Amino acid sequence: MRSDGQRRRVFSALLLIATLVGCGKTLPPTSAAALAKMPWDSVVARARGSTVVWRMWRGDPAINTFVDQWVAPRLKSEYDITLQAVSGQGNELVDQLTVEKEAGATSGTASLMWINGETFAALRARNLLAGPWSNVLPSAAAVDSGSPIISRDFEQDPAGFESPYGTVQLALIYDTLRTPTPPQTVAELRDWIQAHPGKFTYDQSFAGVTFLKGILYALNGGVDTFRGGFDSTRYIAGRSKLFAWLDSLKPFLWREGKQYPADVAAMHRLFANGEVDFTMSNNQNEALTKAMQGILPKTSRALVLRDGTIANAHFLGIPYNAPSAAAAMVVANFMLSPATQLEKQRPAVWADGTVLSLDRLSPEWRVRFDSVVNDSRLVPADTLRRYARPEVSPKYHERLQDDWRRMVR
Amino acid sequence: MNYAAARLTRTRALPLIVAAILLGVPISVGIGYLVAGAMGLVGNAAPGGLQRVLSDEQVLRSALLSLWIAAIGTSLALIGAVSIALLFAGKTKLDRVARSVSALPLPVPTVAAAVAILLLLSQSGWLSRVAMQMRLTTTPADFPALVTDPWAIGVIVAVAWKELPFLLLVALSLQSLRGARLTDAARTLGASRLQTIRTITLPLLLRGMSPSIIAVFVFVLGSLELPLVLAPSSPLALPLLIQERRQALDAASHGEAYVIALLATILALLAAVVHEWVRDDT
Repeated sequence: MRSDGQRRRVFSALLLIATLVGCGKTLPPTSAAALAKMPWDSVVARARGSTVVWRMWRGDPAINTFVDQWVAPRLKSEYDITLQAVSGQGNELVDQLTVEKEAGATSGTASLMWINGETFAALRARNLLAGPWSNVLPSAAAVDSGSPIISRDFEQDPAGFESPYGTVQLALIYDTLRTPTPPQTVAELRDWIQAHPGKFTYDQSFAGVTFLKGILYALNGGVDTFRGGFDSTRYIAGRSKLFAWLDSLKPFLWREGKQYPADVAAMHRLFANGEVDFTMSNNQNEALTKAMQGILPKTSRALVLRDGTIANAHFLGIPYNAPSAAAAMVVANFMLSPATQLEKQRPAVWADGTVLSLDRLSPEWRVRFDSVVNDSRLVPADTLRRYARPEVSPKYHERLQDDWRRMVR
Repeated sequence: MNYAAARLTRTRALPLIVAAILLGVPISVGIGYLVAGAMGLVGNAAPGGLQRVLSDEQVLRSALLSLWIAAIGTSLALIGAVSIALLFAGKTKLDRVARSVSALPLPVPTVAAAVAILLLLSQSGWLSRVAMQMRLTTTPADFPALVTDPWAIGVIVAVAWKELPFLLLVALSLQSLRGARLTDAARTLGASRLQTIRTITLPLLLRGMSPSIIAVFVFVLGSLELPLVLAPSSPLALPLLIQERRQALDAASHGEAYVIALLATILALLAAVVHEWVRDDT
């Protein structure tokens, strides 16, 4: 006899299947491109009560604290938006969205992503980004659109598919006690390394490759040599000069250039413990923030080589299948507001450079920004601007990273 | 088949199906996904990774490094575990304290263990500072490179320290289950203490521990945390190489990551096969 239990089991299985089928049929949410054509007020109204899952780099506790404890509560109280910051960057984002698109998912999980450079290129090439939407944000009016660092993302036109929210510039970090007169140019750096065996290295992740790219520019007539898209011939010629430079320095590097620190955190540790005399950061202000946190010595300072160092911007993008695109746009707009940009730039918070043009702000805001920027322990803003060099095609970064791993490491 | 046997088969069939679904399906799907990725069918991977990986010297060096770490690390943990099990098998207070202390690393999170080894062994670590205090060295660079070093000494020490308690617990439970009666019999028949250990205790222990030894070996081969903090950057440990290729943005590297992951899976399976083969021989 078929028992009641059995019948109940069959029924619940059918119910489960029905639910699963039903889930697949939810209507796709309004797209960012469609929202961009609506008045801003109605975007804000549609955003109310939504949850925004923001996939971002979660590697820095200070940044996490700012996002979770400063940004999220304000979004909740001002817009009734719940912000959930989760880990995810670079290829992970491309990979997951590719898989979701292959599976035909009309509604994904993340509504916002921290992206730039090669990730933006890869997402755009596979049609995984929603847009255009970023130009309609009310706060975008104050963005420093004249800056080559902000208006282009590794030479690519954001074209409304991503919204800038911070800038950084590569800087070396040294200790004024240990190195009272640090090298100021690439040539002086080479002399310094040869005179101080074992005291210099660079890491094998993003900052290290950015450092090498800066040297690549310097040894090959500047950034202009590499502008205008990827050129294999120019790249190979440039690479051989760079690798020859590295070869000549290899015996003088930390561990004779046979080992490299995994990332900037590992390099900071070597620097703080006196194993090496330089570390570096993709953020020009990190010497100060990390010294304030007690991770680096109090006497640590940033140094920008006069041959120029690479500056770039980071952006927010909305995936093609964002479940709450309207709320994502509101968050992107909130990230651009003067109050958020100022808080983000404080050395005790994140020390992330603003993307706003101070000339386009009211005098009160300008005064507040000035008080943060004019800290004598930071590299002066005009020095940063003078030696800032833009990124070139992301292909250069990709190839250099790959070739360094195969040929130098 | 009589009724009882049929009933037994039926009662065992359900757990078997459940186990097959819970264990077999994820593994099959995982391996299937790896194969599909290696062929360039899923994700943004490019096909043709197999030829590139097989001719890639970096992959070979990484595989050798990971095998080296797993083999030496597991062996040291095993030697430590068996020695402690033999030396402190008794019922005195000292024995109990020694066994408890040896089990301490078990609950320590792997990442914490990695950082502890780093603080102890790095060139600016605790040992290096002691050496400097004793005027044996004058700068951090004088101290030998024991972490992120080409021989992976730091990782091996961490692996041995972290895996010893697990093998020790297995050894102790084996001893308490079947050790005493046989050794007592041997001693009564006039075997010396050393003879008993060599001919009875050790073979019994090793035979009983062999699945755990293989489990530790395979686990270490694939684990990421200890190499992440302590292993050299050249060659990279196999799990780190897979991660690096997978995080690269070009489709070619990405495709290679799937192939290398398959290779690592095959290495782990081979270890299990070798174990089955050796076990059948004895």
